[in-house]
Amino acid sequence: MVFFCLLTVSMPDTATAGDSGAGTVSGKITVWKTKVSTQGTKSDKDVIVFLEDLNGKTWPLSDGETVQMDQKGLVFIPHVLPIQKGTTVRFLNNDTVEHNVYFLFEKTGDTIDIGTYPQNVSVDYTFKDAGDVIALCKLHLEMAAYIVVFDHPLFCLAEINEDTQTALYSLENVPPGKYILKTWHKKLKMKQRQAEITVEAGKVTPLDIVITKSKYIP
Amino acid sequence: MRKTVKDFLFTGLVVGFANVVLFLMLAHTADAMPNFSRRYQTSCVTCHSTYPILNPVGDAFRLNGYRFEDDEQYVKEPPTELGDEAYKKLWPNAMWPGEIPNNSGFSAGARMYAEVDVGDESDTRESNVSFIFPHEAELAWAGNLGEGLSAYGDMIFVQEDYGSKDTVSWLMAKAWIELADLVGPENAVNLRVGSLGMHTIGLYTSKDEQRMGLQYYIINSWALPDIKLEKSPGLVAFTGNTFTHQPQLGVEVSGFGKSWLYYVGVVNGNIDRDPGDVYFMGVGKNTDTKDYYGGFAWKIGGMGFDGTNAKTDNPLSNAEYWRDDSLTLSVFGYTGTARIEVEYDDPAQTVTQSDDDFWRLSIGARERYRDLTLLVGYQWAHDDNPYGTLWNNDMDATVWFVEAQYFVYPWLIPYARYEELDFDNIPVTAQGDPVLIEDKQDINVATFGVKAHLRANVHITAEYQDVVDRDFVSATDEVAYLQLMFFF
Repeated sequence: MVFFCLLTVSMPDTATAGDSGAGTVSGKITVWKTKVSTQGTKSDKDVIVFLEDLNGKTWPLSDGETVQMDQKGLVFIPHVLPIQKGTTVRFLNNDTVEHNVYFLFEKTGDTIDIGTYPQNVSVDYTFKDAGDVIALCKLHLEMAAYIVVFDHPLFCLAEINEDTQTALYSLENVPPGKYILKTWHKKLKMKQRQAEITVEAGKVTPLDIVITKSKYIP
Repeated sequence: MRKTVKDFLFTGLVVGFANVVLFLMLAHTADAMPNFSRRYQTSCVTCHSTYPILNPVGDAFRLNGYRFEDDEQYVKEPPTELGDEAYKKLWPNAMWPGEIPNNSGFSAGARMYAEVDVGDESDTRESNVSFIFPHEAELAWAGNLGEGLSAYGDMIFVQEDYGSKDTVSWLMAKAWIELADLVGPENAVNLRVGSLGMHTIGLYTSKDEQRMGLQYYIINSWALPDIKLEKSPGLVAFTGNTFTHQPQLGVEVSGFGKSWLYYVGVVNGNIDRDPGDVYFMGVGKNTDTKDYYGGFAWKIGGMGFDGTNAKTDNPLSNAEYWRDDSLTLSVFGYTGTARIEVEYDDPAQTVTQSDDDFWRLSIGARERYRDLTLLVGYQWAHDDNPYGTLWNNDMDATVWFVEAQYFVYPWLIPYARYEELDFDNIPVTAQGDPVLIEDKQDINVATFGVKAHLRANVHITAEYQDVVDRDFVSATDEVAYLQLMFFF
């Protein structure tokens, strides 16, 4: 089975979804010289493909969007959640035990504990700064989730297939211009570190990506 | 004749070793059950603040027959069915369905000990530094066997060094099965058969299985002073009251609610002083009388015994797995009849038998506030006739202790304990000279230690004990202990 990456981009005023003024970046992600396990509730199957803008555009904050992250069966669901800064994440507790939500902001090393809550009580947190955030639960040390906060909406989440060790991604509605394409994965890095691409209106920019362990990256 | 551990523990035949208090560091029970970690794929700290000490989630899990409320939400390894649910509808024309854990249910672990005689009490120890690797190796199994059934078992292999005076090894085992919710409201009446008392013979708030330190609580481990045969001419052997607060074999009924729990049991008593090298812990001689015990605990604040969540006004206040701001009060009583046997070398009166009717009554409390835990306990003890025809008098004792534990970090917990044991009405002659036993057996002990986790399932404990006031030589006085313990 092949997994697709779908993206809904919050477009700047100059373009809208499906507009011939936007382009698409797509391709195949291949795991190289290692193997990703996709089994279990904290698997390594998730890859985020994202773009860094080289055109000087600024992107508005996420427009009050709220997404959910559940705590159920002593597991954060989903395990990886990419969002744009300004997005509010609603942390649910659908377990019969209490859960705690505790963040480690990897860029700064700061931590924030947003509390401990019983079943059916949710708590919201709005992520205002870009960067990687690890969500933990102090009462169940094995629980963890990754919230990757971007300045912009140019990202999508792909899932690696256990058998083929590949995934397909497609970043749609990308405004024309120059970008740097990168990936995020819990453990693996992009073999070519990054790729400079040019997106043209109404066209598909193909780019296959290889991810691997750091020691194999020259 | 090869010495057994009971020879050391109950007859005091080791020179200079005071046997009145059983200075034991043995595990009564497997201290942790990583098979539950595997079953739920969750960390040890979900249930243990620092194993073996259970946090309130773990205590509720244990009381509930090794399962969580709404267990199916958390199990990652579904059990193996021994019959489909549908067979419940077909009973009695079909076997009632049950289940067993899908994994083996086994956990294993070991303790490594090093002892350093800081005080250099050369009379009691052969060497100042002893390595006892391993001191114990344990294999345990426990689990829920489906609706209303749970079971536990363990085998603990021990080797003891006794201050390098001698090396002794033995294997002790335990096993029990519990039927839950026999009658009445949920959790009100549960029946357990087998090795009882791992959590219930003694105060609920100061169980040895839940102790922070290496040494047992004196309130649990003390025993009546034994006879010194050399002080009684003509005396060949003596079997006294061997009671200590330790697991025994019997039947127990227990129950719990949010704030309360109780347990009552009947056991053989007369713990066998020489059970051999392989035995079930607490095995006792069957006589016409049995021993009885009962205990009660009341919890104020914190998570309920039934796992009911604590009320928290401020959700930001208490997010650590070891915290459970609460006060727990406990009371425990034990009454029994011990068979006393006195053997003379006089053909006219070779062996005399009599009974010692005795009781122990304890009260205790445990206060947990944030990272601090305070424990206290007090015990009254009475024996009608502990020395049989040798003395024909009663004897009393009191024991008390205080203890403090503090989580400096989640992995670093220092602790300190002070304990006193006082005997009243020690056997003496008409002139007031002690007879039969060592001069005085009263003891005051201060223990200091720190526990450090290398991992959730691996920790090191360093402990030092100072026998503050004593009139006999103790093998544990001014001795530093280092333990490395791991389970998987």
